[in-house]
Amino acid sequence: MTPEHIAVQKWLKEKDTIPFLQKIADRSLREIQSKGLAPMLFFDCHTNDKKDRVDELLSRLFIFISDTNRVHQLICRKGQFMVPELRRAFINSIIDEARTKDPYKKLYRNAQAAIRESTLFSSPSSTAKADPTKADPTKAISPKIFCFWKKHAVSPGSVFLTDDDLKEIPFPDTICPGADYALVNQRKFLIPLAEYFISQVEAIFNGCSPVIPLKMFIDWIGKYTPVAFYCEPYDGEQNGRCPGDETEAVSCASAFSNRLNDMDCQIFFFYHCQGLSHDEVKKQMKRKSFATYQKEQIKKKLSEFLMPFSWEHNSDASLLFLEKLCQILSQKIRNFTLKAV
Amino acid sequence: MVSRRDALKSAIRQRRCPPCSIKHMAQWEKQYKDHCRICPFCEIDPKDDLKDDLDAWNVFEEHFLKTFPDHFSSGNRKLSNIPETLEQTGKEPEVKPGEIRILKTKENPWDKGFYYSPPAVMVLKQKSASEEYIPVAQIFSEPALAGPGDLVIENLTTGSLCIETWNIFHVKMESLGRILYQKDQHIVDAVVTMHKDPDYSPEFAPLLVPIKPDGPRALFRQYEQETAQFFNEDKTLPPVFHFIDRTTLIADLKNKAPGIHWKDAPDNLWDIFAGAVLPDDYYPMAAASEDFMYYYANLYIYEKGKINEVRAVRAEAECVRTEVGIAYSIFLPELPVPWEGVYGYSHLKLRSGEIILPVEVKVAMEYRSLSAAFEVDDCLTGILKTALFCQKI
Repeated sequence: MTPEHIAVQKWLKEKDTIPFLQKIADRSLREIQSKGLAPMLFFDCHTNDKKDRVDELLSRLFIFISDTNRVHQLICRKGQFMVPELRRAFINSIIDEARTKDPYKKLYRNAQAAIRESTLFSSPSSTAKADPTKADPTKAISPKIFCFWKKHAVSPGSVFLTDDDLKEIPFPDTICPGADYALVNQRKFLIPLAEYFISQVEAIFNGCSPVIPLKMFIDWIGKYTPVAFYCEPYDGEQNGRCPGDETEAVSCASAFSNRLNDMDCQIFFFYHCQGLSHDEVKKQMKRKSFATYQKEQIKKKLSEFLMPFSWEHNSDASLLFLEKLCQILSQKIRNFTLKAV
Repeated sequence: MVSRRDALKSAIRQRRCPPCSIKHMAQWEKQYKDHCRICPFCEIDPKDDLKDDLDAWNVFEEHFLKTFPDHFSSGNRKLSNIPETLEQTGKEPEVKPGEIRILKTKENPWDKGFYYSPPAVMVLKQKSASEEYIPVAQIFSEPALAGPGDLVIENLTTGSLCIETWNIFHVKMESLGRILYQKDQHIVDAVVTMHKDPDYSPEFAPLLVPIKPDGPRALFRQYEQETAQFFNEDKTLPPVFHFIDRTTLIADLKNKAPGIHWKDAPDNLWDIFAGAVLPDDYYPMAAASEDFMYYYANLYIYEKGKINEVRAVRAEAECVRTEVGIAYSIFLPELPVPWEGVYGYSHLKLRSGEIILPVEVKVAMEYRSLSAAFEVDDCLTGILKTALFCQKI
């Protein structure tokens, strides 16, 4: 143990040190956030709270100082640049740490190396060298993106898949015993999984062989096991329940009720709110027919109306929507029967 | 990556909800109120921030380009606010194929409580002196909503462009608004080829996942088609049916005309329509005199973009030689619908099953006939197949 090491350990225990380090942690957080590095560096926490983040940085800073020899000298010299230098060294160290720890990048790099070395697939660099006259199947994709396709595939073409499509490709338990990060990150499973994924995509496009951007493959694995941590709220996609669901459902009920004419209102109300049978509806509405055609039309209208809402399959919000809609319709029906009388 | 549902939501708002400037116009106060009653988005958030912001940026961009017209260009075209009308420049405005332009807002942009924001379109042909309209293909920008038949061009700086090759319509020159980008001729060619043959996909474009009949993309296409119908100005337009893919189209036809069949598997969209053989009871009794050659054309009567009825119509054809090949004059003496609004199509089918597409098909209303020109040498080259389309009245 060097004398500097002993001095630093002692310094860390002094009562003024913690507030001092707290300031550095605070300043570091500001720097991290101003550079937009927060999502990359805070993948372990699930909060955006500033205090939590400063606390996390403080504990990391503590470990960094006590474990890193080269900062010991820095601290003992106590020069005028000690604080900014310490901060810079610290931030660089956590960026490095994040780089090696980020599970997404780790998996990506591992898969890239495995696919490059595998004899089952081709990737752009290997074909370009082998046969420069050959048409480049990655033409539609940016050259910087690593792609792969089946070796000997006839004119492979780029494909476009969204999250919705990736979700529909099931995880093959027969190929890899479980969707677990530690398992999928092994070459003996990565290669068969990539092979399986390509053949599934091929089936979607009726046998046209696809060029797969590696990111797409990793994203697909990510549907079954977490491969990345996000702390910053991610705009756009929100799966399952969102906080706005219920209020949205209630407002939607009013908008939909306004799209129905008087007769539609009655048909919907009797069939779907009161659950009456065909005969009862016929009697209630004093009609000769069951209005099954109209019933189907309204059903279609409703499903089209609800299509853009992610809570369409959320039973709580859907029930609330129906409840509210029935309430509005019952009021409407009462109003126009009063008018008729 | 956005989910299709979320993409559909923003697409509907973009196409059917009024921009912020409209919300504060006294002129449209009633229409805006009516819209809010039935619109689930405006109902929830009448002063929706994000959309207002986007709208405001558009207005800003337009002003900016107007003020500094010389500083922004794409290729060799100035990206200025071009309604370069005849009055402004003193000469015919120049519009080139491959230009992506925004249409101008209609005088009355409202229909049944919805506001129709003008879409961006790609110009497909230079305007010729004899024609009043130019063909354009509608465009959207969210690849999550694209399906077979859309041409997706990814660009890192401008974002994605999805060109609806199945959704082509005709507008007057003066309806074209400012230019956004200029695309190359090979893209225009690809759009035209894809329009003729929905199964074709150029190698520079990604393949797209087939559309499910009940999914968000099927509904999106319905919206896109309604938008095109709203902005279409040539009412003799070739109908663009709302079909999802060939399998569902064929299923649909079988549903409307049980017994309909094809001699061999139809090669392309037009082969489905023109090459369909209807069951015997669709054909009237043979005419008493058989002095001239006649055959039957398939008449498709459609409503709201969907086929409602299929009929067999007696047609008499006469072949003449032209400078470039041959042309058929097709007479339809017994057409059961008025000639206004009829659109016709013909191709030649060879014995080998190969199809020769026409170079031009024209409806000559005053002669109650149809003419179809082909670049082939001989009148006996192939069998003439004809499909007619007409909107239900």
